[in-house]
Amino acid sequence: VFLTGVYTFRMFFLVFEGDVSPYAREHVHVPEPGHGEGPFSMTSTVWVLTVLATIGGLIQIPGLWELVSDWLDPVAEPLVEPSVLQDYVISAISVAIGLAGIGVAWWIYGAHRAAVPSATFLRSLLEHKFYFDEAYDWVFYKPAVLVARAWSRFVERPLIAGSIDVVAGGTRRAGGGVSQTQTGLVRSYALALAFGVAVLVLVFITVR
Amino acid sequence: MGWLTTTLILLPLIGALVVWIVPLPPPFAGSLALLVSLTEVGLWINGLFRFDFEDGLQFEQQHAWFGELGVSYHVGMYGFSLWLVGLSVIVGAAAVAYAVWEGRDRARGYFGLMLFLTGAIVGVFVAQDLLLFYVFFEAMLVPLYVLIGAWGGPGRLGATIKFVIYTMAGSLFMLAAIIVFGLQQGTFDLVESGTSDDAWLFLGFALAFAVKAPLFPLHGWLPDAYRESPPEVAAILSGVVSKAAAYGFLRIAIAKFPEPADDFQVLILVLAATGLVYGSLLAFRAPDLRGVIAYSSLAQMGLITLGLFAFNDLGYDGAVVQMVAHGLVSATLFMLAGAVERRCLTGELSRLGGMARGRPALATMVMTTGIIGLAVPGSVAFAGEFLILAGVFDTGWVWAVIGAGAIVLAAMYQLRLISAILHQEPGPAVSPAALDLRPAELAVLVPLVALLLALSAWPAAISEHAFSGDDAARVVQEQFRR
Repeated sequence: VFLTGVYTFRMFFLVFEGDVSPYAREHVHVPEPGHGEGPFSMTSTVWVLTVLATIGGLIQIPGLWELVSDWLDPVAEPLVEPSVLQDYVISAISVAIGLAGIGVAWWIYGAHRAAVPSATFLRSLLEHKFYFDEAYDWVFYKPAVLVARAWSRFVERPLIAGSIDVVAGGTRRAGGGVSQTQTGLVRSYALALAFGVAVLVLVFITVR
Repeated sequence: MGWLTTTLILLPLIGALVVWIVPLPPPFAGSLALLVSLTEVGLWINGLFRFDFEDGLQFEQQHAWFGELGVSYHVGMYGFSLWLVGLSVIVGAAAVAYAVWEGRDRARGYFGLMLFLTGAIVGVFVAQDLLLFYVFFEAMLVPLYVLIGAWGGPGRLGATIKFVIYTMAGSLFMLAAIIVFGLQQGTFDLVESGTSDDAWLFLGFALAFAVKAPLFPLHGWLPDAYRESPPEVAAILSGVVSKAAAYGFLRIAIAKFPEPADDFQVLILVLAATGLVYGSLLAFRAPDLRGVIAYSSLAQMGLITLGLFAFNDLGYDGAVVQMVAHGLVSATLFMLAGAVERRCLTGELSRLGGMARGRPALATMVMTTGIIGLAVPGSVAFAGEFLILAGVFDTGWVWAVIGAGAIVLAAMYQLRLISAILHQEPGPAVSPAALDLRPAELAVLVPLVALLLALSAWPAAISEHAFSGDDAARVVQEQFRR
């Protein structure tokens, strides 16, 4: 709650308070005070959301009516049932903490009574989102690319595609080799015939 | 209702003969083929409404063929075959329509072959006799051989020869296994024959299906065949023909050989899981559109096989859902790739990009199909993958972990594909004059994407209506007798 108070109102003070920044002066048409609202299509939507956000909490008032708890009760019974007093104390504390957060934001960004803390390491850690993108890159993306490249180079091309070439080339060479026996000379065929008969005779004599 | 199954096979075959024989002018040949394939879709819808999903084999017809050998013309449909037949006729019709729009030359030959292919694929999914199954399984090859070899890209000849020799080699083992199995059983009928515990026969079938699917490492034919085919033929090849292999695993290899299937379960799961990760990673680094889709098909067939070899309700249901989901996704993606290639004259990702600007229809179609393809929660592909992973988790958690990891990889390659086509700066091959998808192209693609969205809303249409009584494991164990 404290941090929410700080960052929300930091945003508020930076955007809406203080002098118009050089960037806004250069790029945005800054209207006269009181004439700068957006078109109806935008303001009307924001109005609805604002009103609902403001009164949304009223659907649950401890001790008075507890619509949310009653609605959830049949499927998710509460593990601990706080007393009404506890509910109010907790609510008061969280509102106080939230206000404290807003106070800090005002102190630094609204009233400029303190300098923006400059923790260089923390700042770059936060600006890089705890280096999540970089970690993701190193843990998932780079290894995936590396493995994919390696498989493509060492498995897909030489083994999967290459084996076909080996079989095709082997068949072609075998055909070429066997075709050498087709000499067209009757005597070589006769020799082959005689050799074949000799093998058959040998087989018939030995295997009996 | 037996006539319905036979008509679904015969109508496209007769259509093919008419287109080939009658000297129609090209536009009429295409229109006639489209009419026939739309009639097929109509017939299938008719069957869908008459089908009783509580019951087993339906729309059955049987006539003796070689009586003394126990071979007969026996056809019929189970719940899951009905869905696969639906996938075949719908993708078939979309492919014919795409070819009509594309204006293929030598139209009579082309459209006749497309119809013939449709008839053969339907035959594979409904045959209840092993020899008949083999006839249709091989009959698919004939039109594919010519379609890729005569109408393909510059490297079509090598691609065709690789594809045909690979698959022929695989199916010869299956033929041997069929003959031995049929003679042992005294019948070739799939419904009447019992189970066998002969590991060699199982391997004969498994090898044929593993080449056709393909499973790692038997996918040597895949990249070339998918790259060199005309896009609509690649759509049928990866969308439907690959499912014939998964169907064969389910209907024959697992159902008829329970013990060998159990013995080889781990080996096949290892190959499937390897193919899943391997295909996903190669898809992630493929330099061209079709390479991405081709290797993603290898991965998805691995996933489907994981589901089948989990041997439980969730796995079987998920595999059937995923067969239909992937069939529609990859068919749509291949035709989208064709549309992009037609405009840019290249599919190289490095030369594409920025096509979303000014082309809202193309962007919407690529985006929707790609997002469904990466199995975003809520999509039909997610439903299929989730069921498969839940099923295979029962077999061993390690398979589910590999599968889940591969889903992250699927997101990586699909998003890379989407952004390489649509986003970033316009590539050198993308002319500002390149048109958005034309109404005729949308007429082909929108129905496919609409089907994907409808199934995303209600995946149980398939998952709870694939096996009689929604009791997959028992139905498979009883060899689909009920």
